[in-house]
Amino acid sequence: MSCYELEGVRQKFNEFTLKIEKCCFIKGKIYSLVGPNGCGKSTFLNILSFLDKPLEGKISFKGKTVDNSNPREVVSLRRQIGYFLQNTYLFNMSVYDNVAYGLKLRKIPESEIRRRAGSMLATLSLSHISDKHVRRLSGGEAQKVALARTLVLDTDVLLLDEPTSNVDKNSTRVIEEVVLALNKERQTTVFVATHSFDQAYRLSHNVVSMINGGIKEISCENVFSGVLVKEENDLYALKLTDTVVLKLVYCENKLVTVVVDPKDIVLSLEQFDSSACNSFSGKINKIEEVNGFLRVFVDVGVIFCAVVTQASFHRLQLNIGRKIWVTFKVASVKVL
Amino acid sequence: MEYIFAGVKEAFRIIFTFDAQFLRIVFTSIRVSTSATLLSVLFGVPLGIFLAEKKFFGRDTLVVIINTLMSIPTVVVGLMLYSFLSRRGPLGEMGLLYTSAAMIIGQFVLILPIITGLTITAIQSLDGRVRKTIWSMGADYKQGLIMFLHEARYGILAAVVVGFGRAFSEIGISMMLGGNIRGYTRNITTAIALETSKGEFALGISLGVVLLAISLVINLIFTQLQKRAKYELL
Repeated sequence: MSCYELEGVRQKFNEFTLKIEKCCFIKGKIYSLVGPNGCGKSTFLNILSFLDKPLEGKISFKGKTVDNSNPREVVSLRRQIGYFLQNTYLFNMSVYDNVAYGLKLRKIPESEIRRRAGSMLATLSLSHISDKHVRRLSGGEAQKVALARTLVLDTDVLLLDEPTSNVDKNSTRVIEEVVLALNKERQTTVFVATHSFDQAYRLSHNVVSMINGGIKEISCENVFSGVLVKEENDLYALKLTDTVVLKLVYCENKLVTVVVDPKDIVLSLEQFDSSACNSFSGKINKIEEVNGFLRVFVDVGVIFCAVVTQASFHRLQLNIGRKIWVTFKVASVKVL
Repeated sequence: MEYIFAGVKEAFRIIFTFDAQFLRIVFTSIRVSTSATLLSVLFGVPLGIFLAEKKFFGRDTLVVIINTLMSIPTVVVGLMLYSFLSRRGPLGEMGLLYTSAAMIIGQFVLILPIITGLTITAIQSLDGRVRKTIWSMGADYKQGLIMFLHEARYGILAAVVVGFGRAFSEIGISMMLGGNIRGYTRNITTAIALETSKGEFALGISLGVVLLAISLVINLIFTQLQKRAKYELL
């Protein structure tokens, strides 16, 4: 079931325009939005949160077209969404009152508010400062309080705009665990805007790249990081293991994260002579069926995932443990 | 010089013996100005929030008019309302002229722009993220309004204090619309003017002391509000 469907959406921001021709976000999935500063991540989240009305386009939420001009409907929609804003603001009151605020707006009984707020404060290790005024908090504490205020709402959708940008590693881990647990237990659809590819791949089912107001979905499989070394013929090498060295074209950064789309990988029983510079042999260690296609995981020293059709799968007689060649072109190695 | 000292001495006797006439005058001032302030808060604060928040055609012009009216002379308000409330005026039949109600209306008209204008400033000077945070939490219009009031409470309270101070110390409206009727519409400022013109300083000075004391209290409240606001913004 779709959570959001966007069609022909246009929205101005800075000197750019956010343009989304058509896209669909599935209920219960975690999406990471990655991209440079000013690429439109917050603008996109503002639209998904129904805080901003796009200049053009149609948005459907849970299968129903949204009427942005009806204030009652907008409030009702906003209440189904927990939005953690970038550079968030805490109201001039205590930590507890901030966390309880959204629940009070939803007219939840006082005893339930105390239970939920108390539990969320404990989860994020904030119980000891629950009576403290928010202006006396450190930057990291303030960020965690704002996050607790969003997560405690237990909404169907969570929009998190750089939720861990200001907190330590340990808190980042706890926050990610809470988000993952909410997604798993309540099928919460989550959108996380982040600059950290590591976090994006750690948290999400799908990574959405945003560049200059456009969006593009990136595979979450076959993501590798490492240091680039220059080779001959204008190619660069990314050493993954002693035997697995990916070839790719020039990139400005030395430390890179790359992705190879599973659809770009060719599986073959023998190594074949071709223009593709990346070819590795390994053994199949897992096979999954998704939407009529088969995802074949091959261990070549690192795990590569390739998508093949049922016909190819049967023709090659693939099975777990079978020796196989993984081949893809330099152009298929995308630097993130 | 002697008559001044005698006046001051008599003034303190009036204050500390709770002279009936003196108390009636002080009470009239407090009753009229408090009523006018409450009325102005009732209309001015929501209007101020509305004008600070909503964008519509003519809004900027309206804000300029309100800011201009913040410094309107009291005699102009008095004259304007007098023409409406006098027997020949459109509201003459209501018989409000030379009553406390007329004074309340006059002071309401005087301080409504002050409370509205300062409320606009208080809301507009809030942190830019407040607005977005309130609506993103799922607040409806009423709930949002309450949170705006909460976040801008010191600025709005300051507006109320300034408004009350202006109403309490004005004389033009009270004189023109109240008529300075003894025991009925005579308040501190009109009584001081009358007593001075009569050369009777004692009652005038005693009322002046009360006026100054109330101004001091207002200033203390104002300073305290500024301190609290500063503390919370740190």
